[in-house]
Amino acid sequence: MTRSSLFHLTGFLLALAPLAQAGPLIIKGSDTLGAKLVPQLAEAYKQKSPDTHFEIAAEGSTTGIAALIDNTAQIGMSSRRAKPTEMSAASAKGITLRPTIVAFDAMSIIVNQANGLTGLTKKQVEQIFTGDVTDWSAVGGKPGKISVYTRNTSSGTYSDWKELAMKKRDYAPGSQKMAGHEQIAAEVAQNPNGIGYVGLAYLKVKGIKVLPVDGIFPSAATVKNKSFPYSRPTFFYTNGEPSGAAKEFVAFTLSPAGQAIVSQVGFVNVQ
Amino acid sequence: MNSNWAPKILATAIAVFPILNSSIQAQDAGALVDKLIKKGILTDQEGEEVRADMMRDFSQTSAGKVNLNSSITELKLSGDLRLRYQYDNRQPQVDNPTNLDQRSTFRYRLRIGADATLGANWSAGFQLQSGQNADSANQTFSNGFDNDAIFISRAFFGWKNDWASVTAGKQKNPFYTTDMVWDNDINPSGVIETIALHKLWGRRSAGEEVIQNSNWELNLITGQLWYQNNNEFAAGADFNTDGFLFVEQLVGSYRFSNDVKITIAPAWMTWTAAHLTNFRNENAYADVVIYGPTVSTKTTTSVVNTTEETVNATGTKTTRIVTPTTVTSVVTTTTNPDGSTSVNTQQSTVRPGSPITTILAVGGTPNQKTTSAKTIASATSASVPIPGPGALPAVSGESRGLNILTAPGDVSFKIGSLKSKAYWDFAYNLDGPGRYNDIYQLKTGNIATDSPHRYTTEDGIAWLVGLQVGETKKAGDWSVIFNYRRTGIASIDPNLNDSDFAMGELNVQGFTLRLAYQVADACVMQLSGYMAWNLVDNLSGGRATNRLNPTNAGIAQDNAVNVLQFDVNIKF
Repeated sequence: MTRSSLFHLTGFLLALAPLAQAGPLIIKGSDTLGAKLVPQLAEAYKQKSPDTHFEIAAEGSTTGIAALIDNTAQIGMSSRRAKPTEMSAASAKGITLRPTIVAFDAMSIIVNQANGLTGLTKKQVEQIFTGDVTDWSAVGGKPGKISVYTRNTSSGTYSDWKELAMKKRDYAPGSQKMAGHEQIAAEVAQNPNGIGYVGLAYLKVKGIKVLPVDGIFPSAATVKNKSFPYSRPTFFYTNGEPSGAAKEFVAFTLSPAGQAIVSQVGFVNVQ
Repeated sequence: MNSNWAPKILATAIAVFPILNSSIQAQDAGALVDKLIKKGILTDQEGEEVRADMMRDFSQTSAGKVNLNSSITELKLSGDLRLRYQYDNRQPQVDNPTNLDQRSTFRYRLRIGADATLGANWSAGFQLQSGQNADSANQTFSNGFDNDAIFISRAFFGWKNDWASVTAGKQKNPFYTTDMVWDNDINPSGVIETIALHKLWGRRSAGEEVIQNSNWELNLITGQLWYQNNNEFAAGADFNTDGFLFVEQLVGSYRFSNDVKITIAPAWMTWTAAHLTNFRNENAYADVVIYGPTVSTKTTTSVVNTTEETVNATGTKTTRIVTPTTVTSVVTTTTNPDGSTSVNTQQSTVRPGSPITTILAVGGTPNQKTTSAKTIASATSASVPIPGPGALPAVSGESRGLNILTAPGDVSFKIGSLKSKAYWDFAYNLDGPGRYNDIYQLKTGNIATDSPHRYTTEDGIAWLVGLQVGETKKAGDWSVIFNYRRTGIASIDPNLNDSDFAMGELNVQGFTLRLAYQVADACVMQLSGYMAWNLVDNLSGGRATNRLNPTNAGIAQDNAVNVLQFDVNIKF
């Protein structure tokens, strides 16, 4: 190859670079983050950078990390930490899964507004969600068969909850698996015997009531001082240090403007 | 120290921690990271990066690359390999070079398995082994380095809580027993339930409190086991009925002190009646269709012309052609089950009338007579073999079943620092007379002429007493086991008992002596000797002696059986 042809090829590749950057920023993963928070962050970011296009798919944390490993997304949203097998699969493909905490969440216990209970203990929560207790009377409530609502199995929240609240035990056999937090809140609002868990962003649904756990309500303060037992960080996973549009978007999310949106949506900011 | 260095040093220290001790997984350090965040030494983001680094390092280890289903909370992989030299001798064969009942074999047994805990209540597992026989996974080294097959010896899942369990599939034998009744290698198939009755009775209410530190325990073990699978469209009641074994056992124990404990475990075992076939156990018992010797006849009828030439003293020769003579030959062949035959030939001749022709001639040697015969026609017919003397009538119905009461137990104690125990077993078959008289149908001595040998109570009883001193758990341990047993031929199921003592035969009594030494935590060397001889001599015929039909059971085929084994067993 002559020196002049090398020069032309280099120039051609440099000319293509902006085109490559111009593609959409693909974000996949957690419904916890992807249902409300990330779309609002994207809208705000587009006001600052109108040329940026987003593709957001919120189908569960597992899908987000898998998409990052398959190189079909630049950012993987996750409400749980990556598993060793996911780390191993990523390493095999030359991907370095790097977590960035973008918000904190508290998985809050909700019951129907008509439920007379005023609180539960961690032990009672475990008993209810594992099926050890199936009637409200066993935990001090009005007699009635408990209806347990949970996230579906591809959700990071589903596995996080087992770890945080159930000592990794199985869910109650009759538990009903919902596609998202909104569905859980809606079902509990309809069912006087219902109980479920949702993120902080979903507590304003009419017809539900938040129960304190061991006397502690979920709030920004109890999450930050780590006294609420079911709080957790939520993540953007990237391939190593983010670059390009992903880097800009992560930076925006962590900026005061982004964190303000985090708080508005109902999460706890990381600042 | 610069505050920026602190997280990196901590991350390095925490990440190296699991490498130094491979049994500790990276996740175990998560609590430490949490504590550092709570103390403000790490920020949340720094903590998360440390976690990710640890997780990434862990994912590069062998353990980190194993992807287990999330339902598995614990997985145990285990196995063992045993190399064995075995010499066995069966009498009454005499000691000579052609004695086929003396064998020296080099054998091995390989078993590998997995047991998974699936949350708090569920479990599942499997085991693969090198042999197909239920009572032995041994393979004999032979024939130009041939390779051997692998078989599934366990496949099960179960559910349990703190006082009960249910396990379904082919599983480890949960019953308290000795090898007099159950061979250690047998993994029964079916559904088995256990209930810890002492925990139930110890409950004060529907709550969780149970009596602790009780000196006694009482467990109920019940099993519904699949014993024989028959074709439901086959003809005949027993041929289209599946066989089941039902077992109910109470295992009670009382601890007198830390070192002294007694256990008694009465059980009731009931086999339903069914046609039994295709058992592979050592000297198994299964049904066969034909019993006793078979007799066949072959009749040959020939028409013969005979020529007589007589020369008198003066040299005059007389030639006489006899009229055609009919000769009938009947050959009766008796074929015994062991392949030996006996032949009996009878011949009759019919010569109608006087010679028809006389010719006078001169010549020949004086005083000599010669006769020549020429067959001019012949025909042969053969009969279909029929059961001969000693053949047995077909069996059916309840006499195929067994109904056995057992009562094993032990008293454990210490001799010095050595764990020891005196143990016993007892079995009585309530259906012993039926099994003996209707199924086995034995005779004494000559099967063709002797009258049947009738059942006696001793035939329906088996018992064992033994003593064990020491046990092999870790390197340097040793043990000695000695026991004596008598097993009546109709007392227990010949398809379940130990395949080593008397090669699984019944109608025997004798000793077992076993010495074991653990040379390493993973290796046990063991020398075992089994000496057995008859309870009742000279049994013959019937369905249990193997003297009538070599394809049939041989559960009482020998007068004495001696076995010597040397094992090297590696556990991993």
